[in-house]
Parts: sequence; C-alpha cells; structure tokens
Amino acid sequence: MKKVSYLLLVLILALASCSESEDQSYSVHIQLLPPDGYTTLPYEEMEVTLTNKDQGTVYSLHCSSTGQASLDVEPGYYSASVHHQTNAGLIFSGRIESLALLPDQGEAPDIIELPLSQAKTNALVIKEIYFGGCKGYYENYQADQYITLYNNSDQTIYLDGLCVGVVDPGNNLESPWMAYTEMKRIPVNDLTWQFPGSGKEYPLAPGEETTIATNAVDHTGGEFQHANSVDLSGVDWGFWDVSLERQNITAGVKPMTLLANLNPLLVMYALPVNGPTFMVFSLQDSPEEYVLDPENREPRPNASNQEKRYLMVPKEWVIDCIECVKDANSPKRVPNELDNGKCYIPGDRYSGRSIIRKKTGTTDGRTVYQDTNNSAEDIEVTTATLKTK
Amino acid sequence: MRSREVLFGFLFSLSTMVSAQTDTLHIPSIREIYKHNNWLAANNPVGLSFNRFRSFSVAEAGYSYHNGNLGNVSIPASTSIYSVYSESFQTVNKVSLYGKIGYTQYQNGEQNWNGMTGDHWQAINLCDSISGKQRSEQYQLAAGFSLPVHQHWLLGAKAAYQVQLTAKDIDPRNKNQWMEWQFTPGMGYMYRDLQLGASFLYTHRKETVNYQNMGSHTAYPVLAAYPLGNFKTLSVGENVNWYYIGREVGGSLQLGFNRGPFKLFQEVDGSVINQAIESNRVQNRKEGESNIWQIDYKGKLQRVSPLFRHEWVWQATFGHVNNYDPLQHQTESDTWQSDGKLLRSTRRTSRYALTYEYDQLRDAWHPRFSIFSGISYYQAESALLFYPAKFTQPIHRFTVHATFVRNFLLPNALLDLSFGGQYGKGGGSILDEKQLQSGENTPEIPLWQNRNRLQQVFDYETMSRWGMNASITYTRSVPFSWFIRAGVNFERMPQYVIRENFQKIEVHTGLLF
Repeated sequence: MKKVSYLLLVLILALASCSESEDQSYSVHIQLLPPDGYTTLPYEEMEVTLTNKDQGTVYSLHCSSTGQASLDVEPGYYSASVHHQTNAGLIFSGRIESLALLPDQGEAPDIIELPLSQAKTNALVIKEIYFGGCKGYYENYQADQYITLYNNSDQTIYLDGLCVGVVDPGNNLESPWMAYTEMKRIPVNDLTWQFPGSGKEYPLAPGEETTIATNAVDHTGGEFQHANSVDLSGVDWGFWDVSLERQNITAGVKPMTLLANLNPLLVMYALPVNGPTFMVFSLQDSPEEYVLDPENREPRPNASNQEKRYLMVPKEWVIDCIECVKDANSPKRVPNELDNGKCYIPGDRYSGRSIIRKKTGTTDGRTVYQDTNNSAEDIEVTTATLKTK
Repeated sequence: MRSREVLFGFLFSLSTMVSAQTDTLHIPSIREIYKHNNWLAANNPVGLSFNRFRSFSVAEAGYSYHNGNLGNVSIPASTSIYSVYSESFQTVNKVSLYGKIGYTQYQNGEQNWNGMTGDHWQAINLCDSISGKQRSEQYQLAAGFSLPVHQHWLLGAKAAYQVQLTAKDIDPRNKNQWMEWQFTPGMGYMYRDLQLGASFLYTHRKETVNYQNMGSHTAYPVLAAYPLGNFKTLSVGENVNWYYIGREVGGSLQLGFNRGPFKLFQEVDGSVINQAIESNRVQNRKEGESNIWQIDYKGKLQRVSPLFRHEWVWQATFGHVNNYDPLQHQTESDTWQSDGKLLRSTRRTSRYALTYEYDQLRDAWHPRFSIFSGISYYQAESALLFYPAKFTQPIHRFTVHATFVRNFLLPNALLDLSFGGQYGKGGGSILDEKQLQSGENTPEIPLWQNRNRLQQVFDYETMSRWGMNASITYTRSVPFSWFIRAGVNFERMPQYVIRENFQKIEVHTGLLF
C-alpha cells in the first residue's frame, strides 16, 4: 500500500513538472525608416501595429524617439503596419505583409526595418453629416439631410464608381451583426448609392468638397417653406432614383446611381434621425457584379425575416466611416478598425445641427481635417454649415 | 443506417440466447454482480475470473425523458432516450467470458451551442447558435475473456467498439460520425489472499463534423468555441468539414486483498491522450491539437458478514489538458507546412470523492435495506492565453448525496423502493485576467466573447442546486426472472434565479438469465 502511494505521488509530481510553459513569446524589434526627403519624424507619436495573420490578434506599441519599437508577442505569422497623420495633415504609413516570428529560430532576432511612405492615395473623408432635421412650423422636419465629402489630401481623387451607404442596422438597438459575427464584412442598410462615371469624369481636387442631399431642393422656399431648414437646390449630388416616388431633386443636380435596393416598396430615402453610421467604400473593379453575387449578401443574424439579404462590404474596402449614434450609451455598429469611437448630437432632435470634422490646420492653402480614425476625437457638433452659406 | 440496425438486431438476439442458469435464481440484479466482484469495475479483464457465479445475463430495454437544462443551453432543453442493451458473464470450464451489446437513440430538442458528440474533444469545438432538433444513434459492442494460465497467473483481454451518428435538422445543420475502439490486455497474479493486476489500454477515437446550410435562403455562421465563452466565426454560407482524431495510451495497476470479513481493492489508472483537428486533409491544414494526461486512483474497503455489509469507497482523479494552435504556413503548392505549435488554453481538474454504504442483508445476494451516502469535491481551472494576457476561471463544487433503498420480499418477487437526495454548491471566479509579463499591453484579441454563454456555464458549474430521486423496481423470479423499474429525478436551481429546472422520468424493463 505504501509503495503504491509513493509511486502515485512520484507520478503526479513528474507529470506536474512537465506542464507547458505559458510564457511563450517572441521579442520583435522594429525600426521605422523615414521616406525620402525626411530625415526625422515625430516617431514618438507613431504606433506600430502587429496583426497575427492566422488568429487576428493585434499588438500595438508607440515608437521611441529614434523610431524603434520593441514588442513581445506570441509566436506566429504577422503583418506589421504604421499609420500616422501629423498636425499638418501629412500621413505617413508603412506595411510589411508577412513576418514570420517563430520560436526556435536559433540566433537572436534582427531588427526589422519598416520603411515609411507619405500617403498618396485616398484621403477622401466624410466631412459633415446633417441628419437631425429641424423644427418646422407644425411638425419636425427631416427631409433636408445632406452629407459632405472632402478631399483631405494633396492629390486629386476621382469619385467615379465610389459608393456610399448607411451601415445596418439604422436603429438604436444592439447590432446583431456585431453580436454574432466577426464583422469582417460590413452590412449596408437598404440602399447602396454609387457615384456614376467611367473613371475620371468626376474629379475632386485637393481641398475640395462635394455634397450629396437626400432631397436636393430649396427647403426654405417654394412649396416647402421651412425657414429653419436649408437650401439644397445647388448641391452637387442628390440621392435620387425614379423608383423613389417621394424623393425630390432640382434640375441640374446630378443624381447618384442607386446600385442596390433591398426594399422595393421604399418611396423615399432618408438618413436615420437618431444617427447614421455612414461609410464611403469601393466595390473594386466590378461593382454591378459584386452587388448581384449572392455570396456577397447575408441575412441579419437571428432576424425573423431571413429573406432580406444585406449587401456585405469587406472592411478593407471602406475608405472612410463615421460611427454616428444616438447618444453616448448607444451600441456600436462597426468594429474599431473602421472607427475607434462614436459621435452623436446631444440634446434635442431636429435642432438643425450636424456633425462635422474638426480642422487641424491648413497646408498649401487648403484646410486639413482631423482624421485619427476616432470620431469621438475627430468630430464636433455645429449648426449645419450650409445654413450659414 | 438501416443495415446497421438490422445487423445490430441480429447480434442482439444472438447475445440473449444463453444456456439454462442456476445462478440467476439468486442474483437479483446486475448491480449485485458488480458489488460482489470489485474487479469488474476495474480496467483489467482478468477480473472476470473472480466472479462467484458461472453465468449471468441481462437484456434490458428502457426509455427516459429529460426536460430542462438548468440554464445551460448547450444541453438540450428536452431529450427522449430509447435504449436496448444486453450484458452477459459466462464461465466455460476455466475461461471467463464477457459480452455486451447496446443501442441507444437520443432525440434532442432545442439543441444549440454544441456541435460535437459528447465532451471528448478539448481544443476547439464546432457549434452554432441556432436552436433545433437533433437525433443521435449510438451502437456499442464489447467482449472480453480471462484465462488462468498457471496456478498463480491469469491473462485476459477486452475489446470495445462504439459508433455514434448525429444529425441536426435545422440550418446550420451538423452531421457527425463518431467512432471509438478500445483494446485492453491484462494480466493478474494470485497468491493466497492477494491479487495483483496490471493492464494496458489503447483507445482510438475519431469524429468527422460536417456543417452546412442547406436552405437556399439562410446562411447562418458556424462557430469555433474557445474556452471562457469565446468564439470565432468560421464561415457564413460555406460548408465546414473538420476531422477530430484522438489516441489514448494508458495503463492500470490493481491490488486486491481479502482477509476474513474484509475485502480491500485499489486501482491506479494513468493515461496520456493526444488529439488533433484537421480542416483540410488534402492540404494538411490543422486547426488545433491537445495533449492530455489523467490519473485516477480509487480504493474500496468492504466488511461483509452474513447479516450486513459496510463499504467505504474513496477516489481521487487528476487531469491536465493543454490545447495548442498550430503554427503553419502555406507553401507554393498550397499545402500547409507546420512550424510548431503555440499553447492557447489549458484546463486543470481534480476530483475527490468519498462514499459509504451500509446494507443490511437478507442473504449474500439480497439486501434488506441499504443506505448509500457520499460527498465529492471538484475543482477546475480553465485558462485562455493571448500573450501576455492570461484569462482564467477557477471553479469548485461540493456535492453531498444520500439514498435509501428498502427491499420487500413478495411471493416469488422482490420490490425495491429507493429515495434519495443531493445538494451541491460551488463557487469561483467567472473571469480573472493577469499579465504573464508586467509592463506589456494586452493585445486586441480576435475572438468575440458571448457573456451569456460564459455566465450560463459558470452558473451551471457553481450555483447551488438540490435534487431528489425516487425509483421503484419490481423483480419477479417465476416462471422466469424479469424486472421493471420506474424512476424520477428532479433537480432545481435556487428560486431567485430564473433557470430551467431538470426533470427526468425513466422506465426500464428486462430479463435476467
């Protein structure tokens, strides 16, 4: 009996001592290299992000003043990226697509160099969203909504083929997409709109903006007569399609293309008055084919109506997104990669106010707007700017 | 599946054809068989040689209905179980033989958050969030023998085979095929009052899980479940086919000692298990791996006299599970090459139990009444690691139970009434976080946590609940031995918690040969 007990004890101790080490980590050292023409950069403000390509785990760390970042991460295959916008509006970014950070590699890991480049491509941002409506004479008025896009870069951007839309759900309830999916693709609520054009028909020069109205008419006069509203008859674009019987547009305003409509009974398009999460995105080379492909459609998780299938946009294709919600306690509709925060208009609805990006300064005579991918920091509330023009 | 049922029915009917018995006239149940020979519950087939009878068989059919899942939605809200089984012990000359065959059908209602068979697989289990009906069929075959080869030495072997087929009837629907076969050779040594034994165990298990959305208008996601209520969405609309393979190697040592009215039995079991998950066998893509070891020690002391029987049983079980994520990359030929593995989650368990039974005997095989009571203590710690963060959930549970059985002697029959109760209470911490390395930031973890599921499982493991059970068994010995047993079981959570209580009713009937 004693021998059996002793043997058991030795066996337990032996097996316990063979337990796996939990401290499996890999030390990685990254050195940022400035782009041509720059000898020094505000490296302390830059954050290196390592994303595990298999698991999706994300590690982030600010660099030192010399541009070095040392992190301990769990072993695996990673992509490394940096994205920084200076106060002057300059964007520096860099990316290494595949890094093998594996244990048992023998020698001590070398310093990994990450070259930075100044961002040249799309700095198209959503500058303003006016969605809250205003007080009418007899009732609250909401038909005068608009969205303004702005070229925040020093390069010309072409609007041809770009798409815009509200992220589903448009109400203030918890998003079933966020609750039950990984949000690798973003659902578009009901209608997807697209800028027409063959490729270079609609340029947007650096510092220029373009406005799209839900009803591109003069809401202050004519048949509408809402003094607290705004004149949208001179905007560039209108959310208008012949199938939307109650949508209004003034001659001369260019209509957006209605690329997809989930609700054929809809007679009017409007932004949710409690706050729309709005995005600008690209459907790459074949938007029409993409929209028609059933693989790119999904029903809302756990919804009673499974017939309605929403257009799903890969989050990598989103150019800009603003998470605008009802109030501070409202649930998010998009993951933090698209907007790390959320914004809202406090106080009364129908107050004639809009959300607008903060200005960070000017460069070469053009305004630069703040874009840190966090609408809680980037956005402020103001009277709709088109009212004061 | 139909041909399996026909073959199974044929084998079942064969197993019930046995020669005329004298032993069954005084053996009232299979329970007494295992009570008189402690070796039968052990993992060494040579224990068949220690039976104190030459022949005993039972053929039984049963039905039970379960309702309620105590709030843990991965357990079906309702289950109907139909079963038939036959078990037989025979001694021919010096050779002791054993055979068992069984069929069980489960019809589960409102099954979700569990797409696997049983709870064998440790690393990453597939599941879905859509509740639906699920049907499962299990087939069991087992056979063993023991043979004295010398005055002091015994040799034996046992083999067992089990298959279970499961299908769910609502999207995303899973179809599972689970198979296990087990082989246990053993040897024994007898000297006067002492019996020693040693056995080896090898088990091979595999399960294929196929998830698909068959409806043209639905595309629900399939999820991979990680510990502590964490999930990863695998696909929406695409089929998921994963292959689970497990191998277990182990051994056992037994010791039996009889002196006068005292009978002592002890057994130590140990095994190591390796499990692997593959999602693409052609391209050699792996999804997870587990290394498991477990040790079990149990002892039993009986003091038997013509009028009474005391029995003390003690048991300690330890288990250790390490689950890994594979480190792999895809080559130019699209196959996956392994670069090692990374510890992702662990689970440590230990269980201690102590029971006492007192039987007042009418004769060696028939208790007049019995009191059975016991306590057990279980503790476990699950951990999920994303360096440098470690998330843990330590839990423990204490259970006490008691059952009283009264036997009535009727003309050519026996009537057993039993009534029992149990109470369990646990505790722990639902989720703790610690840093394996100070000064390092917790990474952004790619899994999404379902707090409802985390809370449900934690409550299921730790909340106090009490239960009662009662049964009545009528056994008749002429013109042939048969029995019928009906029982109820009820388990309840505290009233201030809105949960589903658990109820079970069952009916079994059978023949004793």
